Amino acid sequence: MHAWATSEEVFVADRTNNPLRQGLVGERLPEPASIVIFGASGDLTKRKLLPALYTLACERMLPPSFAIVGFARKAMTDEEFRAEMKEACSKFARSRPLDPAVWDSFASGLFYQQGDYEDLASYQALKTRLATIDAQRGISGNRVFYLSTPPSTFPVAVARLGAAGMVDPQADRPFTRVIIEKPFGTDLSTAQTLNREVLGVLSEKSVYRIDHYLGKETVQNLMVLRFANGLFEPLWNNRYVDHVQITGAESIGIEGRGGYFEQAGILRDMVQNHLFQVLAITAMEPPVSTSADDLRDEKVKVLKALRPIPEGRFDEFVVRGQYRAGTVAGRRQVAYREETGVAPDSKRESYVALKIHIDNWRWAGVPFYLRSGKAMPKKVTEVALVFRGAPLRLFGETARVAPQPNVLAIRIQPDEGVSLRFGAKVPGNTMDIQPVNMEFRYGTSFGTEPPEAYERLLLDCLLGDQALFTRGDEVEASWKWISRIHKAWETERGEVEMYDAGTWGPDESDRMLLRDGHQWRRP
Amino acid sequence: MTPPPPPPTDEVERFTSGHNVAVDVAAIERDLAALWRKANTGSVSVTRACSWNLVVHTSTDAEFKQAQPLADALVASVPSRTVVLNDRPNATGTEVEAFVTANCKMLPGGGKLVCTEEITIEARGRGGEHLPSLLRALLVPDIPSAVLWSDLPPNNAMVAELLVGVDRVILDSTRASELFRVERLGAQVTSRVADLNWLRSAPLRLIIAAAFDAPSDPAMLFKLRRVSIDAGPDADSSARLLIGWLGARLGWSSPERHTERGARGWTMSRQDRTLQVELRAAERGLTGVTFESDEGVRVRLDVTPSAVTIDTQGTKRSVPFSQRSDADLVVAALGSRGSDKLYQSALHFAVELER
Repeated sequence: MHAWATSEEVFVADRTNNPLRQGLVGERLPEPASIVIFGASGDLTKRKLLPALYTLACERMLPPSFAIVGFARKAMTDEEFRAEMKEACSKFARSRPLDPAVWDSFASGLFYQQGDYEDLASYQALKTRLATIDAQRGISGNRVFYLSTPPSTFPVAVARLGAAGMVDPQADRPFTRVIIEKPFGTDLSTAQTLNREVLGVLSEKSVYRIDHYLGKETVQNLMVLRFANGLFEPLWNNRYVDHVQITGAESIGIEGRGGYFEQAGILRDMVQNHLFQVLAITAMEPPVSTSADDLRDEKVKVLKALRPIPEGRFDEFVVRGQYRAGTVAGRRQVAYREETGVAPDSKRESYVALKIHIDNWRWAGVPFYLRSGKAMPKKVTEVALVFRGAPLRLFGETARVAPQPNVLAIRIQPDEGVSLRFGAKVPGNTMDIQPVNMEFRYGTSFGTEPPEAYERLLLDCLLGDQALFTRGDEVEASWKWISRIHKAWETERGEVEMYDAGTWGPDESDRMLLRDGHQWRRP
Repeated sequence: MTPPPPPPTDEVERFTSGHNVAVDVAAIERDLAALWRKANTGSVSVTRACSWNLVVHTSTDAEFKQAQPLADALVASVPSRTVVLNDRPNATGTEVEAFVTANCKMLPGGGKLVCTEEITIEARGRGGEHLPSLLRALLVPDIPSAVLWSDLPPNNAMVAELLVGVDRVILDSTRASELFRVERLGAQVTSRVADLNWLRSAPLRLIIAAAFDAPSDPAMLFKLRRVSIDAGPDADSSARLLIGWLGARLGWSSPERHTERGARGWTMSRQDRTLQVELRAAERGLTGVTFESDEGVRVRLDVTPSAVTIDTQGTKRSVPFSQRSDADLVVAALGSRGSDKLYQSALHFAVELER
């Protein structure tokens, strides 16, 4: 099954023998299934998962026979769960206000099962309950288990699913798929261990490691931009591209998550997963097809081609920063070290900038600069390809403003779109050149809101399409590169560079680019 | 009731607030460009967005009245240059008149007004003959064009000329007594034909298909003895398209028509079997579909405006069901669903039923 089917493509629910399903254009209707959400009383369920599933129901993307079973420690009845989820969907679903008819039908498929993630008996009870629901709802045993629980519970949850006979790695039908939330490990060694534990019970084709960035419309558009147009790909290499900048900035601080952030830092929280996925898609070779493995093979090749930072030279390639107090968009932001749960002498990075080389034929000599930070002037994620200048400055003598490099910027969020900067003659009797932007904005050109990332990813999982989920070797390849930085930080005496909240990061980050004759864009 | 405020007296303000401004027919593009230039001199920057040329052809007052709100609703999802051709061959007066207006919305965060433009050309008497050439001059280059009818297009030379070079023809066969006209039009044009009647019933087709997902046995579909569809006169062509879809998908052939107990019916063959397909009279709309197999398995779908109840051998489940607005259907017609290969085979089979 392909992730990006063309308009001509026929969507056929995988492996069904239903002749009426064949040829239904534009509709991707999964087979009847139950989704079991582990951690159903948590924030992600309320803010993202249930609202996404409800919106899919509104758009008739869920099969008529469908059930969602919340599974968590908290005691709750089905009715209480439904009431809680109704409130959550009213607040967070893209399709608001709730449509009473759709909600009633959706809610009739919502159930709750109390249980302990470590207790085998809880899983056996869940198994019995699912069988009852199957019979009630006309479901033939297809299951998706969504692990939206603390990472420490992932191995035990998977092991118990296996022990309770709820997963069969060999069986295609009925299917069992397990979605695992990030973080998938905290370094190379823990990621390898987790992969081993998970794959001891499940097959790779049943494991859906989620990185919600891949569900974002603009991240997928990056591939469309590159591989569905004849214009860009010929320029997408070291002959024409001078350097690439990838920015993932957040305007908020750590928002009371000091306990978590002190362990994680921005490198684990944003870079190893989200920004590395964006990097891989930006830099990869055209895949042989859009099938999950062909696509992921290409991403893995990029991650394996990342040049390791030479020992003892981490400061030249990595800048870590931490915000001081400041003002972000007119709002006071306390310093990182004053946040709840943060040590007063913490060296944990709230900002990181990386200079990365990709040692392959296409990108040799082109630096990729990545930066991600908290308490930055605004929330923005973008990829910018900065092109080499014209070979000759024909207007160098007469132009009063020096031509600036062409930039192709792909805005991932917010205000999703693409812009191309080029020089244009200023009207008048002189040869003045001014940079102008040619812009494409999703909101302007299509007029419709792109779907939420979780809507796309949940639907893909139900359809058995793994293309937008990360594979085990991909996760390990990214950790392999990132873990060396963490090790260096632990062993070397590197300092954390401070920056004022509400600015674009520490001066040292600017200096890292200046040394190469570059400067950060102001997104 | 408070009367609506009078249109602004300033020409540019009238233009950007959605009121018609008369322009010189010979210089529509020039006058339009001048209005945009003037609109851009204010404090708010104005961006024109356009991803389709959408031509709406109307021949009656009712169609023209219907076209305006439809065009307004459409541009919210598909920014387009909309050209409304109001062709009135029997009317008298000035042969051709043109008006322009803009549909604007402020982007979130303010500061930028995104606008689409709408050109109305009113042709009276022989003025209609000028419409194809006027239209050719008005199409924005390098973006696709679609022509929309709220019914089937008239069969005349002007329409044939209008369709040259168009990327998509959108029509609605709901009221068509003879679907062969649609098939014939499809054969005449190089563009894709999207039928709102077909798109309107897409959710029902999905639900019907899903009714045969596991644990139901889809093999039943190849052992059918009888299929009955309950439809009112307003849903007759929809019901025939539904039969066309089922027939094309399930390999039915050689429909032989007969009338039985007041219901229209056909005897079909599939490999070495025969089955009966009947169209039973209902009051209004398409209200039900029943599948019965040789082995006595019965699947019944009851359709109401808000839900479809699927009854498989006494086990019932309800699926929410709602009709899309016409604007939503046209948006779908402009997208991938407007070039549905299944439609061609379903239409062809439905036309066979008319023979």
